[in-house]
Amino acid sequence: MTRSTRRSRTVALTASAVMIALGATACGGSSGSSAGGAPGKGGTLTILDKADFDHLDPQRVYTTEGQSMDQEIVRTLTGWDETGSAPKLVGDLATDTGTPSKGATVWTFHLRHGVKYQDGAEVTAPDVKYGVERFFSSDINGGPPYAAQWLVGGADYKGPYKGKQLDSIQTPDKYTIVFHLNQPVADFNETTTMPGWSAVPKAHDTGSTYDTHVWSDGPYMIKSYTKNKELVLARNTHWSQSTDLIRQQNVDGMDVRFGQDESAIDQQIKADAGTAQTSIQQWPIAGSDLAQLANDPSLKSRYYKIPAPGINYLAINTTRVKNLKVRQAIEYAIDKTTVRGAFGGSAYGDYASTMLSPGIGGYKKFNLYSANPAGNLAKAKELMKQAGNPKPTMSIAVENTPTQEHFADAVKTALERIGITVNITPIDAANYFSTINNTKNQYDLTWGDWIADWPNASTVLPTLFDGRLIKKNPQANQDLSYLNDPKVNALIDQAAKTADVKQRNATYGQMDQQILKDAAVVPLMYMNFSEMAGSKVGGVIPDTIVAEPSLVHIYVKH
Amino acid sequence: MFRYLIRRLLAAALIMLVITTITFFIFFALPSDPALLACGKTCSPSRLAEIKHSLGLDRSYLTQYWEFLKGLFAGRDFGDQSVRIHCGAPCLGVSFQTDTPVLTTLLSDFPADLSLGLGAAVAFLLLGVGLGTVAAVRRGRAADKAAVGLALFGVSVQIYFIGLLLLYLFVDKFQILPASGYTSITEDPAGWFKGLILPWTTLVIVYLAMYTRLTRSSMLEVFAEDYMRTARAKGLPAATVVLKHGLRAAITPIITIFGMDVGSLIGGSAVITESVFGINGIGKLAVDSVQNSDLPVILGTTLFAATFVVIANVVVDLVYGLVDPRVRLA
Repeated sequence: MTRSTRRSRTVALTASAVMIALGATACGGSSGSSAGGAPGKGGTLTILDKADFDHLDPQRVYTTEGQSMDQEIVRTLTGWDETGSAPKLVGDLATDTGTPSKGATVWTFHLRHGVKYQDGAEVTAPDVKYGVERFFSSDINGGPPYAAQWLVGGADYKGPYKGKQLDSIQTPDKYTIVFHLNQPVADFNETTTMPGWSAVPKAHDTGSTYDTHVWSDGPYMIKSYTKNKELVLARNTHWSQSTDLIRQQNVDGMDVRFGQDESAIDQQIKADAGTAQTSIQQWPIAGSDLAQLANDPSLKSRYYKIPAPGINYLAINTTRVKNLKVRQAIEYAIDKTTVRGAFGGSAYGDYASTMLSPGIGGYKKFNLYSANPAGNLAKAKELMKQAGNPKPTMSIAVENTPTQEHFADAVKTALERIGITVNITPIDAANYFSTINNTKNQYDLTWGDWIADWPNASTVLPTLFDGRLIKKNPQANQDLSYLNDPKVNALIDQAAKTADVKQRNATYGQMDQQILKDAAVVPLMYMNFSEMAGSKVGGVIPDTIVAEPSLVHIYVKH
Repeated sequence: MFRYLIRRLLAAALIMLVITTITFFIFFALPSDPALLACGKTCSPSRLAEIKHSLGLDRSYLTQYWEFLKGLFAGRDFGDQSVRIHCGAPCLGVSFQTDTPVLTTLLSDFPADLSLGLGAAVAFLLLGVGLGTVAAVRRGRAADKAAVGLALFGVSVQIYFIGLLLLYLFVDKFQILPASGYTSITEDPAGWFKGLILPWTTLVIVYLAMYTRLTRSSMLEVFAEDYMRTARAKGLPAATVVLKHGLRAAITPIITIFGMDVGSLIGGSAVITESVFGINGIGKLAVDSVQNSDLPVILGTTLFAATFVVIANVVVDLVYGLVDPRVRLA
């Protein structure tokens, strides 16, 4: 991605021609201008998706595809400008990135004037308050838990539908919104980049059916939406470039088609015929096609390898595998080269040695175990010897897919070499997480992956390793290692209280290191997501926050 | 005849009730929890309880089952919070996933299955019976071997393979046909037809085999009958012997199989074809609903498919009476 000139509000306002030119700069590097054709306005972008979004309702969406789509329809309090070399936090509905006070327990945002809905009405602070309040209704389920966790009085609030408001969200005037939190949250303004921190006008709220009726204040609005079939977006004529630092409105409309087979989509976009030329995919390339497509030189200009803020890992249950030496031996024994092979090879991602991936605030480069990704068998054997050469039998939980079963075989083979017998337990993929997250089902080794909700360690390490949460959410436990290390817990509390970004990141780095010292997890790969677009699609920005090809600057060439 | 029909329909209703009951209770025997799926990644027990309540899953299985049956005849209202969704009789429930009445979704998906299933069925029946007849008449000769070989090929290849191959050839490489997806016949009849050519072809290739082989063996059996020799000895033209005397007798078992195939195809059993060609039909809906633990949709799609299989069976029995004078319905 080339570093492009940052658009200022006045420049964008003056002439659309300037915008087009800027669009070209912004996109030149990432979209492969070699494919020919001038960027411009108009045309329809086709989006080919395996399945419908989990939700489009901004308070319910929690998948990368849905979040990426919502960026076109819904504006959030803050957002990410990703036209530069690194994502930059900017105000979206808000004029800036918010002001913390009282030790980051109170956050104030001032809204831009003149941001309009699809009917021309202005977006106001009470609409944002109402939107955030929707999070609390049990009808509006599926979304992230942060509002309920952090807003004062959130534990007892049940949403706006019974006429009650949440007092910890205040709107002193039409353009100001203040959030009162029950704990310091130094990166709260990154939370507010998620789709749910947005405006929903009460008059247009259709409750649990809002998915198909999302009221737009972004560049595109819903023209028609038949669940599991097709979503058609059209320009929101009331949207104005002058109020929006993040998005452009180049294509006339978007046509999202759901329900095609993954391989058929890959094949279609690769062949680049007819509408496939102006199509893009949101779901990653199928595992079986990945190695071939990643290495096809003819696809290079329209192949996007997006480093996700995520980690693929193997959790070691510390309450079952109690001996630290044995856990350390596992760290050394796992052969990450065969493991990565099972997931699709080098295109899938780089070998990991930390739980935080590069690009996440708090990431610190270190490797406590084998420098060689294939492992260090001698060291592993020695550790087993120190542990008294036990011959344990361990269970490993994986999804019942070919990829994961190959992965489990790789682990089994590696651990057999140090005298550990591994029993593979494949679990129905659709119910995998609801099964392993239930504390009733415990395994010695558990496969997991995690994508940060925003690029900060605060959405990775506390969620995955705060042992105090295990009892609190027995059916939705994310601590697959069952690690409850007082040292880690203390660092979690310390980080939450630290307002200074540098200091806080240092604490997270230390936390990551402590978790690896405990040998609670084997980090396997920092994940990439790979997608393709047709030859006439330009302006694709690899969105490393959401881990999707971003649509905010997209255009089709004529 | 009329009494027969009434009796059959009553029996069919009973079968449906049994199917519904079994599906319903199997669902609750499964380890998946729709409320937990809806709740999201970090779900607190209190939130889970609220969602269970709003999905109506906090009541006893029997109450839920009774509500479902009541809804079938009297309709139901869903939601007591953000919005009231009315689901008129026959109400199959409201999807946990999309908050849409299941029947609405089924009816909007149905034209795709009807077009796909019926079109393919007509083609594979005509071609299969034709090829089978030719093979039987030309037994042991080149035509027979070709027909049997073709059938063997069809029965061996997977829909998954043949579908992607056809897509690659006709859509991506030679660009003769449009990309995948279903176009409504009312919207664009030519587009409807073009879009269905490949899915039809795929189904025909796969189903053709059975019909060819079945017709061939059934015909050969009939050819050995005494009355066939008599017919030939009488000096009837060969075509009359084969078609009027032979095929009419040989077709009964084929009609049985055909009825079941059509019923299940229309009811959504062509799920792999649907998936490969991006046709959002009832089969895909059913598979998705199982993955999402979406009980109302699981029940709805099961009932819907069962309805068509049962109807197809009744129709087959009626057709028997027409084709074979020996069969009398009473």
